Amino acid sequence: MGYDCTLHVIDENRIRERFADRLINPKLSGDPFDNRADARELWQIVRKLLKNGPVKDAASAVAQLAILFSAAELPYHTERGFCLSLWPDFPPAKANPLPRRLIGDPAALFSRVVDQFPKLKGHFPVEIESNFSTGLYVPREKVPELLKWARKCDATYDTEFSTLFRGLILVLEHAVERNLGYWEATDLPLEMRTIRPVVSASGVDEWAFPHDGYAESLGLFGDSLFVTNGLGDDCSTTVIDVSKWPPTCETIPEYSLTVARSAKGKWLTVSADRKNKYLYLARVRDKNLSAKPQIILPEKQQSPNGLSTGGFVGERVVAFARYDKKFSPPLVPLIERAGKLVNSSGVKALTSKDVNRFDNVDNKGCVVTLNNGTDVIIWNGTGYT
Amino acid sequence: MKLRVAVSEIGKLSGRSPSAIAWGNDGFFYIGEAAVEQDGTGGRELRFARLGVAPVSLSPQIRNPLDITRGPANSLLVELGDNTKRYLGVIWFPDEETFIPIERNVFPDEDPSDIHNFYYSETTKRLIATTNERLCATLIEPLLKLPHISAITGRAVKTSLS
Repeated sequence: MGYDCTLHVIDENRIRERFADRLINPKLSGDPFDNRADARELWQIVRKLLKNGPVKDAASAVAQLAILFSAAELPYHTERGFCLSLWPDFPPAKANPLPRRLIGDPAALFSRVVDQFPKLKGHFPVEIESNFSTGLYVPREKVPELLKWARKCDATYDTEFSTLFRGLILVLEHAVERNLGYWEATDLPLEMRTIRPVVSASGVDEWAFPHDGYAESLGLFGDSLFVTNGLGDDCSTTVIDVSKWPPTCETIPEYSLTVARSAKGKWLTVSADRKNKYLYLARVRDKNLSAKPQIILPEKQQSPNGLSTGGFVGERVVAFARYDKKFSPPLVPLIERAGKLVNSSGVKALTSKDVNRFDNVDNKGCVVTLNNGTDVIIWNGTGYT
Repeated sequence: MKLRVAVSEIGKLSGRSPSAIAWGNDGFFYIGEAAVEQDGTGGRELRFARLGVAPVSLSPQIRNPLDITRGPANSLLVELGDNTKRYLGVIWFPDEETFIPIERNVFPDEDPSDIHNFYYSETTKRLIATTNERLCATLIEPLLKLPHISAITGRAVKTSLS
């Protein structure tokens, strides 16, 4: 199942004092951690383990809760499959092992808790041994040296590991800047977060997309930049006017695979709307993108999912049907004629022999308008006019 | 509608999305499939095709291109995948066979693996990068003052701008 790791900055004094007080005294309240919907339940689970549970489970639960308590107040960074505890599993670790002198014992954070529950002594986990546990702890006085080590590693690797250390370095920079410690964990109930640099870069302006979720960009046409997200009922295509900063935008309620513009300014989106989420059709609009589109349907349906991409030849739509092993006959580009998309001729058809296992969904066709005005349809390894 | 063959041997279009960019009177650039190199990078290369002429590979020092868009001053913006120089992309001047690297420090707040596309806004003279959550934009002018690198040899070259 792998490891969903989180890399944390921690305020050691806050864990030693406030967290310990909260754990020992159930009557206290009023910390950011209490804003979690499951805060009360988590306190109860850990207190119950402290009273009656196996000692290793209790110590592990205390450590996990301390990190959750800290994460409610301080930044952290989510990584899939990477943290210091897992570094020895990476091939380059042999050449750049983590110096053991940097690693601390988290027991140092829980002296008050151990005073109340002496059985915990010697049982706090010092590195990740399985899913759902805490990992390496580095005391704040050793974090600057850890940061140096991480930067050296980062500078060493090129392609495969070239971004591996970025999140860790940003976490450590936060820690050094604020005199905080470092601790890590895996599979804790925390939302995914990424960390940003302590000091934001000058000269770069940012503008967040208006919708939550994962957006893909589709292209820039003049000053109109198109992005889209496929969030089911909330799917949208956002048209961003980048002629000024900050930009402005309008939204079309479609998830688009492709956007194209004709020489005279007509727009094509190959897109699915919110009613038919997986049926991609050619939608054409005259200049006004917020207008209701005209849908150009294929004369014969070739795939249950419709089209993959499209463009214009002159003012006529060209579209490429999705390849589907079960439903598609040999495919050729579809060209608009009398309001329908019909098969072109003189073209080498795409068959199952031309489609490898990596692109059996989308046909990689496109249209390019050359500077002499010729439209070239690129299809299955050949350019056609 | 009957179509006629205008360019053959294009091969499979590669990169993030199937696209081609017109150049010159009757040609276009695109990203084609290529052999994977020993370090695991590659699999894609920049190519130029003209009507009636078989395509040619270009700029071997621009490794692992993922996407091409129009740039400033007769250039193209090339987004790169993993590469030993750690470039996010390059501003490519195909007529000169040179490029200016887009280094990670151009967008230092962003995780390099989160940057997916580059665009150039002629109106605001900005280089725009997109992630899955936001646009990031910076003025292009300081980048255009940086030294050009030969796309053939990988060495710095002197141009009228440098």
